[in-house]
Amino acid sequence: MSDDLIEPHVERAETIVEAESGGDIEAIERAASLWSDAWRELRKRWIFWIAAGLIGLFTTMAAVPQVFVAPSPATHDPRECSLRAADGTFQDRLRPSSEHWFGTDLQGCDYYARVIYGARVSIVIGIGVIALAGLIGLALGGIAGFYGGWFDNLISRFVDVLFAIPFLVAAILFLNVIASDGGRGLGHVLLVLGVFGWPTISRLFRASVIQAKAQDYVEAARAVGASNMRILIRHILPNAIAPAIVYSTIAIGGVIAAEATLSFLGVGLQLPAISWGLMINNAQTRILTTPHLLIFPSIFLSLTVLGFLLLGDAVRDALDPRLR
Amino acid sequence: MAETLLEVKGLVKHFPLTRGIVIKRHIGDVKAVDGVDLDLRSGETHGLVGESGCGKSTTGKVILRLHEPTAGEAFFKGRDIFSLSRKEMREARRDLQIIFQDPYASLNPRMTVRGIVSEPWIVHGMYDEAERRERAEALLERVGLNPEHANRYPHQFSGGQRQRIGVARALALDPSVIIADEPVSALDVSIQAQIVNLMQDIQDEFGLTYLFIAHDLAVVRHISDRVSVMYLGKIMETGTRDDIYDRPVHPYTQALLSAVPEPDPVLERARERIVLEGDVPSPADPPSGCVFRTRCWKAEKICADEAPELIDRGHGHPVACHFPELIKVLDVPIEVS
Amino acid sequence: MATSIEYPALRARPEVGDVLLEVENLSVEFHTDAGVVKAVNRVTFNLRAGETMAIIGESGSGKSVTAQAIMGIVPIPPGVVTADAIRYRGSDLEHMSERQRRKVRGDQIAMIFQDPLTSLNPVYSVGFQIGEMFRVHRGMSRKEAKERSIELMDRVRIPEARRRVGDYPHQFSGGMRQRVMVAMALALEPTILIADEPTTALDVTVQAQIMEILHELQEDNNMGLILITHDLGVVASVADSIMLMYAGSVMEKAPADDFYASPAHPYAHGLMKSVPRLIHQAGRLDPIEGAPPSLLNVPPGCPFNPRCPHTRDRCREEVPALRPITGYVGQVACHFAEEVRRG
Repeated sequence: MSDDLIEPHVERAETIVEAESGGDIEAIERAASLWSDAWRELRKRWIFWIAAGLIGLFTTMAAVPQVFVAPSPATHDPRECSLRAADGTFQDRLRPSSEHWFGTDLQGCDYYARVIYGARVSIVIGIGVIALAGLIGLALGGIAGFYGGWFDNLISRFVDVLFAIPFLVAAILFLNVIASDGGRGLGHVLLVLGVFGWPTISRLFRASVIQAKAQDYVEAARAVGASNMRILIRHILPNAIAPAIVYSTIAIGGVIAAEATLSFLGVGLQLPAISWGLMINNAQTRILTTPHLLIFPSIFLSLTVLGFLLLGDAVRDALDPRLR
Repeated sequence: MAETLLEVKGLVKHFPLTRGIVIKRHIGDVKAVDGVDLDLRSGETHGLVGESGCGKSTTGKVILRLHEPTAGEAFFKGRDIFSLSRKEMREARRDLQIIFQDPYASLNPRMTVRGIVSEPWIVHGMYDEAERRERAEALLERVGLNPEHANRYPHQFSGGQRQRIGVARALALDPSVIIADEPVSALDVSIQAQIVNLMQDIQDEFGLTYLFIAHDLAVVRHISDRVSVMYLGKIMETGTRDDIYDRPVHPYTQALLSAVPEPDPVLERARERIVLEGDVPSPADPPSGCVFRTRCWKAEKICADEAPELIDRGHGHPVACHFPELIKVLDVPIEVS
Repeated sequence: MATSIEYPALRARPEVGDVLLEVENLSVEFHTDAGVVKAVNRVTFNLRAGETMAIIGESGSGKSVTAQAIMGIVPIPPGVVTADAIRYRGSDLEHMSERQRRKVRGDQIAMIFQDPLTSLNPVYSVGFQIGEMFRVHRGMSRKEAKERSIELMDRVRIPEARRRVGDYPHQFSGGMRQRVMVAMALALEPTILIADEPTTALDVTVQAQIMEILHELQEDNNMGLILITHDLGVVASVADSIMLMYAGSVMEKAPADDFYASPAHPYAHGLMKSVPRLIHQAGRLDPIEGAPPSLLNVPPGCPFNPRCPHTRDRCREEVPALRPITGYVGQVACHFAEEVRRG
């Protein structure tokens, strides 16, 4: 019997209803689901707003890079590069100026346009990978947790094996094999990252499913005659998904960084793809002479990743007491 | 003549104990329920009492097939419910419902109260949306809640109110039998009485039969027509309420009654307590023969060799003991002042 | 007003009737994001050596927080403890330094909790944990501490103490674990033992045993015993006095026999009528309507007024003080206690 100190009803006190007779003390409050409560909590946090701002900025950049490029006096096409200008001077490796806001790169391309367009790859991969990994992870984790027995055994051991494989080594191997120059594209990178992304999600979700499965309200649903599918979707999923949501949000940031890493190592995207990782790769040997080639993509990359990490943090705090 | 709605014979539920992660070895069983006979007559309240670990909750859940039985039979309105297919069982569930103990865990925190109470109808494809709304609100009102709060979530209600929601849910399908698994144990004292009264009120109105599972002997005495006493997975004694409370013949029943405190100091000081020595044995390793013998002051060799059957041994109601003896534990001599 | 404890003076065993604990207008609030929780409101009582006081209340009544405030274990912040006085044998507990408070805690005032499973450390043997009290507070050697532990385990009637002293908590049943807790609490021969719902998690056949042990040990040592519970029955035979709490305030304070025979406060009445009896049968249970209030939103005036069948305007406006009433030995916090009593 819970007692004193800070009990559940203290935290929910503003919404407790005295519905019995003697109810002139009725606290008339709107219905408040746990999700709407979490949303309210989220809105209170300044970290959330910063994260939302960053993510909003970069997602828009990914969706409509033209908008961001439009005001630039330089060419708006990131692929339109000429080593020589009309008057014959070399245009490569120019410092940032009023003509080229971020300067130019080795081929004479306007760096500002390239950096802006680079957002697309990162956002698409970030969200795409997590969507893929999430789908697989939730499905397998859910089956393992809910049905237990041999399903659980099989899936969990498979997950263990995947965990044992060192990510970078495997990614490099795989991508190198598939690699022929030019043949390796967004899809391949997405696949590789997705394959290594789902085990963690499945483990997390499996654990929450097992916890939710043991709750009385699941038994109550069974007692009423609900089918397994209904129980999984209506009862287990909403109550077990919170940790997976938190992890996934943070993981988007991780995936974006991972793609950049792979591209940087030369096993990710290849030219003519526009990726911040690739740009950083190209810039690394010339840090002293042309630092702007390194600085701009790095800043954009960091801010994008930061945005998702901060969002994940804020979401975790907002969902925390309601994580069960 | 009240018909027998539910007849349970030789119910056994063992939970296997295993060791190992990849390859699991079966190293024993927790004998939660080890041969229980029980019957429920139409319109009655049958109290199933015992202390923690005796298997009373498990018994209730196995009857509902929330756990599959290890052995035994259960006949509900003449049908063998353990041999029903999943589909048939689903139908049968409309008539056999449950109220859970923990008001905080038995309601899905992410469903509205309306959704919780209506779920049984959705599962069974009954009524249309509008009718479900109406009926849900009517049910909520019947159990003493404000129907305007149907859109709220469980965490917005107190423990007692949540338990009422649980009662409403159990009533939704208009069952004949409700298994109440410790329905008031987790509630404050002043609220317990509200729920007990509610259950009694609706019993006549809805034509319900209760299997009332509890450890609180006072509540069981108040609400039950017949009572069965459980210990370590077996029934020790069973009979009408007065048989058990006024004429107990099994030593465990007597010890149990003797241990329950009354809020009356004068009475308490006058009472003779039967104090049991030792601990309850583990259900993974119950004593041979009579399971109660390790704590019984009457234990003899036969108790270790032969498990006593639950039969009438001349006292008017069945008892599982080789040496039953009437001790009127609750008759307390009080000096008249 | 002494702010440090002089040990030699206070080590003397108290005589029966000596005042051990004086609590005057103790209040505890918690300042949370959702608002101020008024957990305890102006609680006043005395405890004498050899006396058993039962604090009875339902959830949210403030009974546990009161004990925690006396022990000095209320988390601060968010808690705020105020009192006119909290005196232990004349010394002011409230303004003591944390270091001195810790010396009192465990040594002079001991506490046992509801759930022995979570109160005992699962990775140390039972003997080790009991012995720790001796090693830490009395500087005994391991060997000595072990012997004393076995003695104590015997005293709380744990069978085969010598053999079991090396066992771990999970190897004991609930009742046995609670006895271990009692042994630990009593190791240093405290003058006051506070037991917070000591039998709630236990089976009824074991409850009686634990209550008996507590009672015996109290008599042996002239201890002051505070029993905190929601169960009216379990303390009926051992309590000398009853303090009934509701929503953080004291509703009634009376000698046990008088309280049970004929309580004065409407809440007490309501409780008695709503509890099913084993021996005296009632017809229909008479519950108290409504539910205990949220401590964030305690009703103005008398906290019980929304549920009280006798409530009047004054009850909603003015907080009733705890006062003696005619025709009754105890004190009641009700404006109309005399009328209610007359029927």
